[in-house]
Amino acid sequence: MEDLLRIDGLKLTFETHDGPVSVLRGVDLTVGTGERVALVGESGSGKSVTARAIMGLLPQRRVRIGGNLHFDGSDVLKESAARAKARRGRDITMIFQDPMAALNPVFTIRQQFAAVLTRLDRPLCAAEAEDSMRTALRDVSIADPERVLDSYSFQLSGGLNQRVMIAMALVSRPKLLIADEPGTALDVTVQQQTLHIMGNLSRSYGTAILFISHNLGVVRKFADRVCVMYAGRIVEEAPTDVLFSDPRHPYTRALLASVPRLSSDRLPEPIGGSVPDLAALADGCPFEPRCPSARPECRGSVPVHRFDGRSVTCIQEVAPA
Amino acid sequence: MKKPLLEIRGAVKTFQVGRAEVKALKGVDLAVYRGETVAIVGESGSGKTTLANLVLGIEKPTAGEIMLSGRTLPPKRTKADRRHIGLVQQNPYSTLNPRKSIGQAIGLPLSVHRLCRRSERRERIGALLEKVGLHRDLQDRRPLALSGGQRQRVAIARALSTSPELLVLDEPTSSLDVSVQAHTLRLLRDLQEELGLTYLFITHDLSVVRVLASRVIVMYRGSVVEEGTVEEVFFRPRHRYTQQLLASIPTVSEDDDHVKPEWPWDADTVSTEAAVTGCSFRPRCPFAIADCARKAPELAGPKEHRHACLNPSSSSTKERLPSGIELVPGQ
Repeated sequence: MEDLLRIDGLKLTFETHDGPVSVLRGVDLTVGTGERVALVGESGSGKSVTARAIMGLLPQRRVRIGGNLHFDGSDVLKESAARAKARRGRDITMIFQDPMAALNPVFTIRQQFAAVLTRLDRPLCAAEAEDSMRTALRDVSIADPERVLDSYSFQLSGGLNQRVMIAMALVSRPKLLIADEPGTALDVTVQQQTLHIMGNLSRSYGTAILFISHNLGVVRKFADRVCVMYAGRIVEEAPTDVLFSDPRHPYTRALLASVPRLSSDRLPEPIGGSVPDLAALADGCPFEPRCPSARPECRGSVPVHRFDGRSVTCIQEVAPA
Repeated sequence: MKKPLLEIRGAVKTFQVGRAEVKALKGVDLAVYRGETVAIVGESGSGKTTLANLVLGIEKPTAGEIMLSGRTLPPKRTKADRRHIGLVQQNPYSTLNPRKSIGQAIGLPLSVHRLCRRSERRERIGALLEKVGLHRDLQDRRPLALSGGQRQRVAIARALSTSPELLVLDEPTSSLDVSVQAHTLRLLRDLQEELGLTYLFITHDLSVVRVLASRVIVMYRGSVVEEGTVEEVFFRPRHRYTQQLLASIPTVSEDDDHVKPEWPWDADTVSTEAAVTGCSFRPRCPFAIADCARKAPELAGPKEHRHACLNPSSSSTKERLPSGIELVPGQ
């Protein structure tokens, strides 16, 4: 598969009053054309910052960036702000966690949708715009698009707002859609329903998706490939079914064991210790203090094992469980 | 026959919103026995938090009564009434005052209810912190110095400070990461065993219900649509809404997938219109029949499993399970 997005050794450090904090410490990630890749990790692992780097939405000051980030042939980290702006909302779009917060309550859905349409390559006349808004809303299974277009976001349910967001994000037929915890703020039923819609539509448009989530279960139904992030690094990457049936990194295993199971009423296993302080992280494996199979060598540099289309960043040749 | 610790009879709550009347609760009956965990599940707007607020005395019921240990609680609670019911809320970042120390947060209920001498106070707070697995010296810190999981433990310690019989847990783990959630679930179960606590557990996350609760009540738009033992409701869901809720649980293994009911995600369009008559789930239900629009179904069935659906599901999860998979039975 051709790489649409290619990230090599991305490093990112924020300069804070208390000194530098390295939030990304060498992230390697690729997303192929039309592929769905999930980035999973707990809060503070660096998922959302990675998304912001891809969108070119990082602050200009007090940030140090290293490594490479190529999207569709161009070098995102070196190009001008104008180029990045031209790409946003056209080639790369984004869906956020809370649709209520992402839509502006003082404009109607029609006004906001029309603003999205002005970003298209080709300007549309009023009638064309109206037509394309209605079609887009019908595509996300909204029965009465006119009424939704005339509404303000606070008059609509969370599910309807989320559908509006999906319609807006896909109307430009982007090459990449970044979904940052989509629908986490919504009810589970509504979240599943809207994810189903987003999945079907993006597949028929050939849009690649970078799916960011803290919920392993949500990405399992949705992604072709999963990258597990911990403390600014991807610790394991594998095709989705392989990762869930045969996780190799101790962190991935621990994370899976902490999810409550429907098939058992046993309490899930918590992970001991806590997420490391990114400002005071040593060179070795960041999971070492919490890892059940840690060894003294883990404090040295950690190799990446690549085999069968997957990669595991761990000192041990991790055997199947 | 055991007497319930908490009993709710015909609870109705209507809110006046402008000129319109919103029925948040349309007559809910509920009994919670000593030492058990009853889960109330439903989405936002189902009335689960309103129900909790009635139990806590934060809201007054429009009709119906709430009884604790066989005694009807007055609409305006006295201090003595409030002592017996504790509350743990969803977001530990907003439930603790950032300007007050942890010790002050936990100590306030102690002084309001005059539960200990000033000289014993530090010791009592320290003991409470240790009970929830935190270091006793943490009482001099402020919430900002604590992680989300630690703050939730502080909130639990505060709820336990008055030695309540009943704890209302309103989405206690929803805003936590999974690994932290697992810690909190463990703590809640350990505390229940140790102190014989009774939990009214409010959540939208059914996977957590499975590990913590013995009975579950499913609410939709102010009514109970299904109730029963966790085993019954999870493996033989009858109401279509319960089915959709179960089908929405993100699962991480094939064993879990087999437990989930099927749901026709493709048969779905939404509109802005709300149902006026009949079953309130009808506008979203792919299984609605003509009768559903005519009358609102009532809860029916044996005590261990009742549902309110005119076209219920008949299949049991156990029948769908492929051979070789054993379900670990419920409590």
